[in-house]
Amino acid sequence: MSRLAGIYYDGRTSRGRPAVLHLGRDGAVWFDDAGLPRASIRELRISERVGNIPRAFVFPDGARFETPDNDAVDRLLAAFGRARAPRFLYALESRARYILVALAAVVAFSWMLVRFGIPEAARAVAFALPVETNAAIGASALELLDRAVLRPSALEAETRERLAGHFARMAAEQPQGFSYTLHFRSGGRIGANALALPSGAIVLTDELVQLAQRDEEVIAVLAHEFGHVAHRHGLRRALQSSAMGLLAVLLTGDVSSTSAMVAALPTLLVEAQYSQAFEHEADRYAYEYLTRRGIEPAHFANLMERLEQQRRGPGGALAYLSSHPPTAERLRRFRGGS
Amino acid sequence: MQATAAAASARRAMPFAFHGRGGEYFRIWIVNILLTILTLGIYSAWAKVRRQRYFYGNTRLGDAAFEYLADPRVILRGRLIAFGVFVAYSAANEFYPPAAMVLSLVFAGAMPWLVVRSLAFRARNTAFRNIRFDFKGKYREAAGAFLWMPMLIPFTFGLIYPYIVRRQKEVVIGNTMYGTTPFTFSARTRDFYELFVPILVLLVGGGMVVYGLARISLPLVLAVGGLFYLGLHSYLSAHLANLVYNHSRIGPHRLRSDQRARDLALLHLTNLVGIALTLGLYIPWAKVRLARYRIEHLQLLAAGELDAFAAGEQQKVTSTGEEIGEMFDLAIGV
Repeated sequence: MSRLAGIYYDGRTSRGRPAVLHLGRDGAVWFDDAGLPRASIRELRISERVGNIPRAFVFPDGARFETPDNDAVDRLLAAFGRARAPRFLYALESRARYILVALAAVVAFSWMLVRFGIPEAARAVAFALPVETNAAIGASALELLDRAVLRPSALEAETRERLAGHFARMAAEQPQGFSYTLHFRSGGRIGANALALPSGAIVLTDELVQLAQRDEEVIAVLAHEFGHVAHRHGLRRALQSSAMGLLAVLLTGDVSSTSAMVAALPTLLVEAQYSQAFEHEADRYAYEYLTRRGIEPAHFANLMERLEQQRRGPGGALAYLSSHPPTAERLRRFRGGS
Repeated sequence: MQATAAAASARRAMPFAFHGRGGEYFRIWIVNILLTILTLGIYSAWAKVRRQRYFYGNTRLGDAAFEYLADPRVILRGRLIAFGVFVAYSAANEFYPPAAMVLSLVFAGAMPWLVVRSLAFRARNTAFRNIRFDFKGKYREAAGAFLWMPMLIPFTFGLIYPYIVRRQKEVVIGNTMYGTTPFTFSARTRDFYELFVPILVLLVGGGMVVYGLARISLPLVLAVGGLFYLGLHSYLSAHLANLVYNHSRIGPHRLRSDQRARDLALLHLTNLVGIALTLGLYIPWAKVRLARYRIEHLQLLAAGELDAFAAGEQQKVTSTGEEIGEMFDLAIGV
């Protein structure tokens, strides 16, 4: 026979009565106070253990007996062979080695998902969508850039026409469905730079054109930007960040403002990783394009190297995107011949 | 009830206490996540119940703890519906924006209903001393405060906002019951303007400073702007909580909250740093610390014993409203 001290609430008023519950070998449940109900343990619902919060014995009429003595309740339930699943949960939660295993599993799973699952899924979805979807992503991006950073180009008309000619020839060799347009701008704060918008619009800054010593170098950069478009990087980026947001909510289980703010921090690290992967893809695309056309891939490396020097120099363009892979590594790929 | 002057003068301050511990909650949290992954998300409903039971059950007033009584199966059904709505909305938004517009309108019309259902679900699944809470609000009343009035914000240059917040709190608290005993809410519109006007001034002033800094250095702006936001957010949440609790009554009893902005700001800042440094593993400790601060700065000013509350009749309510609300990040509550 076991006894438990706690408080009895009848469920009709908020009044609580200190009470001692007795449990007989046959499963009969009664209290010290004879005025309180008797029942069989089989009729009672006993709340699951969570941490060390009070346990409730719920009687068929809705009355509750609450006790803080969780261990005693567990012993008692074990004696009656009840509630195996909840004890399993508590057992998981209360043993250090299970917690370590759970932690390792969660960390490994999150890492796999973020590293491989999300990018692969985003790629599959992006290519399953109609090609027009790309134009919808960041439709007004160029307008925004024009307002915030870019200024009208000051290049001579002759240069522009010549480069537009190269661009037109390249665009004809690209995947169909995008509307390829070339835009010349003065880079302002972002200096020597080139950008591809998901719709197929490509922006070249005056500074980049001036930094290039031959047209092949510009063609190499354009090929890289075409790579971003062909691989649908804009759409994939959008899909990846929504998936990351959803994942954070699903895993941590809440949508409060603090965790949203905080979820942004690891997300930033991951996004940098993702954009490095995109740059690799675009580089590979450029490399293959240049080789196909019989243009020496080293032109790309030469321009990158000059950009790097300029960036290191005082007042240089800081911005050739820190999300890009380390230049040395890229140079090796374009010069080393694979 | 015996809300006489004599009783009022004899109020007894009963502090709320929080007994949760970060390490203990971490274990529950990590097991919840693992099982949620292994069951492809199905377990998340059970995980929610376990999490809520932990926080409610560790919140104590006098000799009793709060209880969270929701049925995980009901939550699961709500989540599945919410997920369906979310997917439909996202898909429409991505591929056929006009359909998303229509869905947004439908969603706006359903919003007051979501608010009411969500508050009812939460209230009816909360109990203290074996008496459940309840929420009696109706669509029409919620629509005024949560749908129509916010539409006036652009036309009033936002000046109506503090009034709307007051109305929303009034709808939420004024319709909440503990058993058969209603809560009453007595804050004046003026109190809300006195809280929001300084915030508005700070926001405009701070915004100008941040804008000015933006021309100098981007990292500096992010740091200053982030700290500024954190400070303002802490100020608002501390003082709004105090304002709301201090003007809420339950029968003859009153509440008193004394959160301080600087404590909250420090708490949020250290939580943020902890979470960032551990890539999220600190979240359970952060949540426990925040819960403890809020709960332990709340007192019940009891007029007499807490024995006299009577239970009301209970109706069942589905959790769809709450789950859709969570999915779309509807911030409702006290």
